[in-house]
Amino acid sequence: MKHVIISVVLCIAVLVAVIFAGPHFAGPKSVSLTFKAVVGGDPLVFEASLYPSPSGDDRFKVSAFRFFISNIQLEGDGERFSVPNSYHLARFDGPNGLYTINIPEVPLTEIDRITFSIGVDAAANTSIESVGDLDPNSRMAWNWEVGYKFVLMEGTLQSGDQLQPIVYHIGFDENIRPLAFSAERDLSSSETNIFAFEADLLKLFNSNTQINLAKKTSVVFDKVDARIIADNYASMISLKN
Amino acid sequence: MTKSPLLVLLLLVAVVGVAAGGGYFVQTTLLRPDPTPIADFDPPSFFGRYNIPPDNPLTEEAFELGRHLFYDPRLSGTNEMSCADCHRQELAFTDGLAFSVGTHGGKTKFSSMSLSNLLWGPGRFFWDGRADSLEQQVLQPIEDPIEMDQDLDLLLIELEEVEAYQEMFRAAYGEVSTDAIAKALSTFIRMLVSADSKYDAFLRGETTLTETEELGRKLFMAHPDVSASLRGGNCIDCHGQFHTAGFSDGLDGFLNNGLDGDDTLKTGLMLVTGDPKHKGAFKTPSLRNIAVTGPYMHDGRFETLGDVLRHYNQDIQHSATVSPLILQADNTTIDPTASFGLNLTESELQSIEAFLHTLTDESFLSDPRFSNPFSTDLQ
Repeated sequence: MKHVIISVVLCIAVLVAVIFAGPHFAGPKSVSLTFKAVVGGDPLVFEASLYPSPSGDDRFKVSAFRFFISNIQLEGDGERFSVPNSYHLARFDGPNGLYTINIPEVPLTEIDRITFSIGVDAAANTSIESVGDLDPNSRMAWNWEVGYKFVLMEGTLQSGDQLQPIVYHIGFDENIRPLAFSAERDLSSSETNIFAFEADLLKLFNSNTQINLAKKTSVVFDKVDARIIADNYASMISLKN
Repeated sequence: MTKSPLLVLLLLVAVVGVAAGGGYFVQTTLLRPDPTPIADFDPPSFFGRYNIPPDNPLTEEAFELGRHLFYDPRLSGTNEMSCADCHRQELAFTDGLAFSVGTHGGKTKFSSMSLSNLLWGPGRFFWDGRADSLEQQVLQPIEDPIEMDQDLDLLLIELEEVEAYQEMFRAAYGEVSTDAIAKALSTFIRMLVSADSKYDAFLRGETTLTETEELGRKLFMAHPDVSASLRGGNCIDCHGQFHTAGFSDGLDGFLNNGLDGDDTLKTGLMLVTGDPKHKGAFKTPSLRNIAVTGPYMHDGRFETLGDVLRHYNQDIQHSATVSPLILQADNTTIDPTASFGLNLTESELQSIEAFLHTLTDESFLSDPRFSNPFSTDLQ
C-alpha cells in the first residue's frame, strides 16, 4: 500500500514539474515555410492543364516552374534570425506539389516579419561553390560567367492549332527581388509553425507589365525583357496565413 | 531431479554452440582488420557534392576486389566474358558498338554506357534509369540472359573456390556474398574519376584553349537568344558546365532530346515512373571522353560527333514529350513550320566539336589503377 501511495505522489510530482517547467525549458522551435504554386486562381498542374494566356486568345501548358528563394530572415521581438546557407530551390514536381523549407532551431519567441529574396545575391551568383541548393552543375545554372537562373518557367503555347515552345529563364544580379511579409506568430504556443505562401505563376506575365506570350515566346538573355519579368515576379508570392 | 541429466546436456550443447558461433564471429569480424579508407581521393570541387553510401565506404580493399571482379570472366555464365568486355578502359569504358554482344552472341537493347565520374550526375543508372543505385545496377548485367547470363548463387560458389578471392572478400567485407560483389564493383566504378582533360587544365588555369576550342566552349555554354544576339549550342541546358553529365536533382538528368517522333518513341524513363510525360526520356550522359565513346545515343544511332551535332542543328523530331528547351533553342528567328534545330553555321559546329575533344583525358584512358589486374595473379 505504501508503495502505491509513493508511486502516485511521484507521478503527480513529475506531472506538475513537466507542466510548469515545460515552457521555460522549451528550446528553439522549428519553422516551416511552405510554397504552393498556382496559376491565377487555379492550382498548377504540370503538362495537363491549359491556362488562358493573360493577353490574347491563346492558352499555355506548363512543363517546368522553379525559382530560387534566398537569404531568409525571421524577425520578432526586436531580434533577427538569419537562416544559414539560405539558398532554396522551390520546385513543385514532388509528390504533393508543395515546396517546403524547414528551418530547425529558430531562437525566437515570436515572428512578426519574414524577409527573403527571389533570386541569388551577386556574391553567390557567380561563385562555383555548392551552398544550400546552389549547384553550378544543375539545371538552374547557366555557367559561372553568367550565374544562375533565378526563375525558370517552360512550357507550350497553343494558339489555334499551332503549338510553340515557351521558355523564360530569368537571372542576372540586378534581377534579384527582396520581399518582406508581415506576420504575427507566437512561437511558444505550438510545436510546428507553418507559414503558408502561394506563388502565382501568372504574375510573371500579368503584374506590373502585361506580356503577350505569343509575341514574346522566350525571355532569356535580353536584359530589358528580363527586368520586366523580374519586376513582375516581385509580386508573385503572397503569405496566406 | 530426473530432468537434470537432460538439462546438463542441453546446457552443454548451448555452451558449445555459443563457443563455436563466437569463434566464427571472432574469426570473421574481430580478427579482421578494418578496411583501409582510400586516403588520397580528392576529386575537383567544381564537380560538386557527391554521396557515398554510408554502408559502402571507399576502401582500398573494396576497390581492389571490385577491380578484380570487373575484369574476371567468372562473372559470366560461360566464364568467357567480364564486365570489361563491354566497358573497355581505352574507350572510356564503352565498347565502340551501337549494341553490345552478350556472352551467347545476343545483342543488348541499349548501347554500353561509358563509366566515369558516376559519383556526379543523375542518381539513376542505365539509359532508362531503371536502377536507383550503383549497387543495384552492377548485378543486373551479370544476371541478364542476353548479357553475362550468370546465376549469382553459382557465381558465389565459383568465387569461394579461389583462395585469393576468399582473402580479398574477407578483407573488404568479411565474407563472399552477393552483397559484397555489388558493393565492390560499385566502389571500383565510383573510383573511375576522369578529371585531367585539357578542359580540366583550362579550369585550373594551367592552360588556354585554342581560338576554335574557346568559341566552341562559349557556344557549348550558351542558350541561343536571337533577341540578345547571343549564339549558342545549348549543350549547357542538359549537361552540367563542369562535369558535363546530366543533372542530379530529381529526374532532371533525363529528357527526350528529339531523336524520334511520336510513332517510334521508345518507353525510356516511363518504364520506371509510369508517367507518360517521361516517354522517350533517356539519361543525359557525361561528355567526358566523348570523342572516344562513339557511336552515340542510347541506341548508338550516330557514328560520329558530327552526326550528333547535325541532329541538334537541324533534325529535332517532334513528339508529345520532347523538351521545350530543345525545341525552342534556335539561332535564327523561330519559324514554327520549319524544321527544328540550332541552325548554327558549319564552322560553329566544328568549334563545338573541337571543344568536345578537349574533354578527352588520356591519363584516365591508360591509368594503370583501372586496368586489368589479372596479368600477374589469380589466373
